[in-house]
This record gives sequence, C-alpha cells and structure tokens, in this order.
Amino acid sequence: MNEQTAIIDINNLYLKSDQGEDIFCGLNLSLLSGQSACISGPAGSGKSSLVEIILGLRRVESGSVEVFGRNISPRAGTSLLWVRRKTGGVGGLFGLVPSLTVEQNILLPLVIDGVPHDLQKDKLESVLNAFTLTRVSMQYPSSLTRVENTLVQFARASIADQPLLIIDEPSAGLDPQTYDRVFEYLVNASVGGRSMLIFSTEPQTRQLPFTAYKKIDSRRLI
Amino acid sequence: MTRPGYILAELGRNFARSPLAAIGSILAVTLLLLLFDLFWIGALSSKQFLGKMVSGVTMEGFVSEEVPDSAVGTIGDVLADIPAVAEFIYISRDSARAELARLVGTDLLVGYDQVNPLPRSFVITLRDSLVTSERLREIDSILTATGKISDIYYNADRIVRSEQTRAIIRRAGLVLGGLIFLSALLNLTNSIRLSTRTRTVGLRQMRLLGAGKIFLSLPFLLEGFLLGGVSAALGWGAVFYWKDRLPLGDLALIVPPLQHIILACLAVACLGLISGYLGVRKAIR
Repeated sequence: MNEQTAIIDINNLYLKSDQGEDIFCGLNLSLLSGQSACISGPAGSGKSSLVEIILGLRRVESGSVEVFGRNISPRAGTSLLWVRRKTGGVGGLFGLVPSLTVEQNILLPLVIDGVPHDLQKDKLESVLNAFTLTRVSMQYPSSLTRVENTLVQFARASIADQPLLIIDEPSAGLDPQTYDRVFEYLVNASVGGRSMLIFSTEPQTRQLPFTAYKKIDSRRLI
Repeated sequence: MTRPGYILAELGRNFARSPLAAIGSILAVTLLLLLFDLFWIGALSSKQFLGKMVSGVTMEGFVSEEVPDSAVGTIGDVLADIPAVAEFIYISRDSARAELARLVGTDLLVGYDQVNPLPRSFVITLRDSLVTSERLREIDSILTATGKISDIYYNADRIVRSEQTRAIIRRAGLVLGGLIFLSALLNLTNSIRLSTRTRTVGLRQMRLLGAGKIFLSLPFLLEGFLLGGVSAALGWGAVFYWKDRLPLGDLALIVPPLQHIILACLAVACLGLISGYLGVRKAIR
C-alpha cells in the first residue's frame, strides 16, 4: 500500500473578517491523499473563506496552511501556481471563462499545464461524452443553462485529473437526474484516489466512500 | 489547443472583441507618430541645408611680415598635423599679386616689383564633418601660438548660427519626441487596460487554474507590440505616399535611411510592449 501523503494540512488557523470579526479560531483540517472531506455550514460560516485560504487568495491572522506540502499564502508565488494547477474546482469561486467555448474551457487546465495537443484531443472526447456535452462543445458559457455550466466545470475538473478537487455546493441548481450522474462521478473520483473537499450549506445526505463528514461550528471544524 | 495557439487565439480575440477601439487607438498613435516622422524629416532636411551652409568654410591665416620666406614651411607642418584641416594652400606675395590682378582686371602693383606690400597667407580648407566653432577657435589658437601668424580670418558667425539652429532643432526634437512617445505610451496603455477590463472574469478564472503571469500577459504584450508597430509603419507609409505627391518645388526632403525607419518602427513596437505590460499589470496581480 502506498504511503499516504498530506494533501491539505491546516493547523490552528485564525482568521478575521475585514470588519474584525472572528471567522476561524483555531481551525484544524488534515486531508491525506485519497481521502475526502464534506464540510457543511450555514451561509457566512466561512466555507468560501476556507477555499480562498487553500487557494492562496486570502491571508490568515495566524496558523499554518500547507497544501501538497507547500506553505500557502497570497505571496507564495510559484508554489501557489503549482498548487492551483494540482487543484480542480467546481462552483463558488470557480467559474468558466466567458470568452472561451465549452471545449476551450474544458481544455484550459491542460493548456496551462502545457499538455500536447494530441493528448488533449483524446481526453476531450471522452470527457465530453461522459458529461454529455458534445452538443454544446462549441458554445460559449453565456448560452449555457445553469446545469450545463456546472457540468462543464465538472468536465474541466475531470480532464486534468488533478489530485485535489474542491467543490462548492455540488447539488446547486442540478435536477435529481443530473445530480445522480454528478454523484456517480464523485464516487468514481473518490474510489479512483482523488482527494475532494466538498462544501455545502446543508449536510450531505448521500455518503461518499473514503470521506469524512465535518461541519463548521463555533468557528472550528467538528 | 497549445499554449502558443492559445496566446495567438487570445490576441485575435482581443482585436475581434473591440475592433473599433483597436482601430481608434492605431489611428491616434499613427497621427502622433506621423507628427514625429515629419519633424524627423524636417530636422534631417534642415541639417543638410545647414551642412551646405558651413561646407567649404575656409580660414585664412596671414603670415607676419617679420617671418622670412624660409620659415614659412614650418607653419605648413603645423597645419598638416591638425586633423580638421582638409587642405591648405600657401599664397605667396607673387601669388597674391596675381590673384589681385585677376580680380581687378589689371595689375595695380606696377612699380612695386621690389617691395610687394601684399601679405603672405595660408588658405585653409576644413573637413566638412569636423567644422565646429570650437574647432575653428582651436586652430586659431594653434596658429597664433606659432608666433608666425599675425591675423586669422574666418566666418565664425555663420558657423555659430548654424550650430545654434541645430541645437534648437535637437532640443525641440527631444521635447517633441518625448511628448509624442509619452502620449503614444499612455494611449496604448489605456487601450490595453480597456481590453483587460472586459476580461477580468476570465483572467481571474485562469489565475485560479494556475495560469502564470507571463502566460496571461503575453496576448496583451503582443497586442501592444502590434498596435505600436502597425501605427509606426502606417505613419511611414503615409509619409512615403505623400512625399512624391506634394508639390514641394525645389524643396528637397531628406527621408531617413530604411534601416533607421525599421529601427524606429521596432522602437515604437517595443514601446507598445511596455504599454501592454503597464495595461495588463493590475489585471493579473
């Protein structure tokens, strides 16, 4: 069995809002490779702030934040780019690039990573089929429905196969049938060894394998 | 889609997204640069005119009466050692008499065969490229220092005026050039900044996906480079189109050599590159 490395390691995190109110007081989060966590909490509990911290968009008061073994802060420079390239995202902060077609949006992580064109083509076809997006592949995000938009984000997160996937409200705006497909994708991703950090307002009712269920309460994760 | 492919496609999108803004920017910068091109041509033409004004400037140094003819040769040696001196001719008393007779039409010195009162002199022609008032003063003092030259005559005023005019043109060129390049820089920067404003969401998303600053800024740098380069080339295109069509009469316009024009276009293109950086800097922070 492979030795499990820490994907996310957050220790004793303190964060205040711009108004000076405490958001996190001594928050700890550890996620080993292959493990996932579903974090629930009401609106304003700090879910988005946690995503921003992990992606190096926000500075913390104190505490350490390590992602893929690298210290993360807005000034982390190349480490930050490296971590972001290894992190896929759906919903919340993550969105589509309006000036690119669905196909180009999906391919974007590979383009940024410098993956050769031939490899991109093979992967694109399978991802478009998996998320039934072939019909809209040449359309721009502005002409997509909300469901299609979310599926394109999942397709983008799927194509690069990054070791960490951050999902904000996976069921938002999805009809039950589409959510079933998305959930199936999440199960496969989890079984396939990808680590996921799933944020939702309501606690998830369906259980994912290798996943810890936590909620933000009193500015900590429990 | 490869990285270079993406960058080129993005560059195309930048132009396609707001073609009128791009055309407007190109025209504004073209007009600014055209003004500079015309000034450049004007400066070169006046430089040639002023060059003609001072070309063939001669000095005439008169040998002191007490210097015997046998010692005149040493003055020639001194002159030969001065780099600015192209050539010099020694005018003996007899040559001066012959020249006077030629000019007047009759020999006025009949009866003065034994004591020709005309002075001996050296007529010094200077190299055109080295004629400056400072050099003339230098030669003047070298000749005076020999103690064998009593008087030196040259048209210092013409040279000083020519130098003053050149200095004014040079200063005006620097000021005008600086202002024009600053205006072009601001114009292009503004154009690129507007271009980035329409793409704020896309740029933020790409940053989240791990795109580096160079990758994100390259399309905008290239946009600035192209806007600058095309504007400069259009300016010169207009100059060459109108140069032979305008009824300028005898006025000869001196156009800079092609290599200089290409270098100038490249310089403006590089200015566009800087504008691209300044324009995109905030958006990719």
